Amino acid sequence: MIKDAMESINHSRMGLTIVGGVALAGLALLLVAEAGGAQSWLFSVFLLAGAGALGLYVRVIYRGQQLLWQRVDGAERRNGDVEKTLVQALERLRAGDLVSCAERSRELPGKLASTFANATNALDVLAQQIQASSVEVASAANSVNEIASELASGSSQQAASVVEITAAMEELARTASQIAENAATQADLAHKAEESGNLGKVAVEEAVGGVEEVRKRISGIASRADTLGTRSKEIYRVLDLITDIAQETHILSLNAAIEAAAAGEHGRRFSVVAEEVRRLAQRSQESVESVRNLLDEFASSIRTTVVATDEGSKEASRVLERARAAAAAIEELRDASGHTARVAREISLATQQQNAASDEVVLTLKEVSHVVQRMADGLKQFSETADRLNQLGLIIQMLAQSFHLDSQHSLKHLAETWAVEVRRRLGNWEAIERLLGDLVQRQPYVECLYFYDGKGGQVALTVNRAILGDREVPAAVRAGEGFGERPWYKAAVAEKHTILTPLFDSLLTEQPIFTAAAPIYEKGELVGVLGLDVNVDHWTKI
Amino acid sequence: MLKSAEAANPAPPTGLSAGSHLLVQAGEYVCALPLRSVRRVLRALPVHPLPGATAELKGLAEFAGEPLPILDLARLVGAPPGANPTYPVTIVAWAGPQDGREMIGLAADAALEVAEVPLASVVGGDGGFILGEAPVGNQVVRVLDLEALGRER
Amino acid sequence: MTGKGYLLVRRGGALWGVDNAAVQSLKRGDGGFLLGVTAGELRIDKIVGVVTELAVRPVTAALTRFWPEAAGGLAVYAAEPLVVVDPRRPPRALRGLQSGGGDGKRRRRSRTA
Repeated sequence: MIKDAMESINHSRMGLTIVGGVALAGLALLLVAEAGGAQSWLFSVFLLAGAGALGLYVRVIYRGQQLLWQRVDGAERRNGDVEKTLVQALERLRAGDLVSCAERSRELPGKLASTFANATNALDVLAQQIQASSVEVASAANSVNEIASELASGSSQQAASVVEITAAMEELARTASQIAENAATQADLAHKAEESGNLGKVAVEEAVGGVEEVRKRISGIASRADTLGTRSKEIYRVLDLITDIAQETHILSLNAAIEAAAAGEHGRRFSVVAEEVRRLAQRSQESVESVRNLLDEFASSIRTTVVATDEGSKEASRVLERARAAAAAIEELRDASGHTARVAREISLATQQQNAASDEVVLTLKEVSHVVQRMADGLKQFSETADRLNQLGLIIQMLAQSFHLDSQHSLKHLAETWAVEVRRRLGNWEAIERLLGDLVQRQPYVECLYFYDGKGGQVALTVNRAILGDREVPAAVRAGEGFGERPWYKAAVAEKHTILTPLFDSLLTEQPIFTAAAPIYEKGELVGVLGLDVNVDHWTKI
Repeated sequence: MLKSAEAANPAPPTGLSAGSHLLVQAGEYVCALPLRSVRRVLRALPVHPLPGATAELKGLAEFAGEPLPILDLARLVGAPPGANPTYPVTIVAWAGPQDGREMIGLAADAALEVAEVPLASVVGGDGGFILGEAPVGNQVVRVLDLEALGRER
Repeated sequence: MTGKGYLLVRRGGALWGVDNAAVQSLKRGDGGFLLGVTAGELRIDKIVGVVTELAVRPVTAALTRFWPEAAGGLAVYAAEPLVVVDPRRPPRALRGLQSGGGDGKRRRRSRTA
């Protein structure tokens, strides 16, 4: 076009030059003619030349100029359309609607369309990356916030634990002092017990010696009693012998009496002698019995003595054993007391050392406590920073969401896609209600999904029970009229495109939410607005 | 070695008082043996039991080279058993009638004394071996007739 | 009854003498010995010995009264009394029969005479 214009301008210049030349030539000729009395044929020639030039000018230059003006006019009209389209596209771009922008840019001519499309695509990619990154940033910020909170909490607990440990160590130090005192007392007592043990050992040894002596004496008595017993047995044997003799004598006397009786008178004196012998034998027997009785008593006494000495000996042995056991126990006690005294002294020394160590530990713990407290303070600040980071992440996300991208991360795209579905079901309110119920289940961060007609009346509303739980839907949210004055409704209608509201608190969950509102048009007329309430907590966790 | 029958069977004693008796302990009874029937009092002889003998026959013993049947006096008189005897004796006596007496041994628990037992004081009795009972001192004794021992079967 | 000698045997703890002339056989058996005599076989526990002479005394009535067995007499050997056996009528103890008296010895019923 510019080339044509330039060409036209050149042609015009050429034409003007020709016309100018012709005019000058004519003028010159006139002058010459006038001067020299030129023939009229020159004038005619000039006129012809002039006419010819003029005709040439008209044909070449004027027609060209006409075409040029036509072309310029066309170009101006086309430029106007392009400008309009470009303006619209840029308007959509300004609004962040890269999808509409890309659609509009396709109407641009040639290279402008491709260049614009490339630029839009690059911006789209960048915005998508920003959106994706913002999600990651928000998620990371959320994680950092959680970690910071945990660290802050843990640090506080740690500080509290350090305080407790410090208190315990101080208590331990006090206890150690008491132990040291007790140990010193114990050492004294053990030393005294050791001395008492020494005395006891001596006493027991003396007692053992005494019992040994008694046992020996009892053994001597038992031995002599044994001897007496043996002697009495011998006496019994003698008595048995005497008894035998007495019995034989008795029998002999009887036989003598028999013989004497057989001898008759001659045996009378013999029978007297026999009777005397019998009596003698009887007396002997009686004496033997007497002696035997005495010996029995003596033997009984001996036995009693033997039994008594035996028991005495056993008792003495038992006493000796017990005395030895007592001596051994005293020895053990003495050793234990000595050991206890040594241990008590060691404990006393150790607790004194422990006291000093405890004091150092307490000081160190106090320093640690300060450090931990400072750490806790720092973590608290870190937590606050993380909180701010979290909020910034959310802000970045929200900013990223201001672009309408053809992406799963784009809420505006989601809202407009769902709005298309709603538009397909216009007039069938039940179908719209079913559709909303189905759609709200697809996105776990959509708290509430609703459609209001062109006058702001509620047509359908559905809530996500996975987020609400058993909460009741408040009256302010239930079906009614007058929702056309709501900010989200008015903004969507004003922008004529999907909008996102700032954060506000949900009436349903009292948690922070924002609304994506998409106006729906049918044949250029507003038929309603589709709204999605996005729960920020659930959205940032995705 | 044969011994003379005379030595084996000496003549009966003469001049004895009819009341002279040897008192012996047989179980719980005190028995009175006529002194004329008694030949010797000995410490209890070793007895060799004879298979097939009754309870009254303790067995055979040897006395002066001769075999001697030994009878249990306590069983003969039916006395209840007494305490274990300290010095049991064997009374060598003649049993049976005068014209055919035999020497036997009577095992008793003890030989007590020679005492006079008037025959008139003997009461009771079965007319056989046990003549009867009679008081001697402060005890009652069973008076025996050894001649009747050989008669009875 | 007299003979040139006697066989001294022990049975039931008692000492018995058997006229050598009456001995027909002697063999081991029945846990001891079996002595064959006129009346049959005598059961003996042990053979003590043989003597050439014995002072045999007649069996007294007092003995017979309390030991109703036939015997050849009584004698003494080495201060021990013995019964001389009648080989025609040996006592039950030697025949292994249960006797009428209660001597407490082991008995075995037998039909041998």
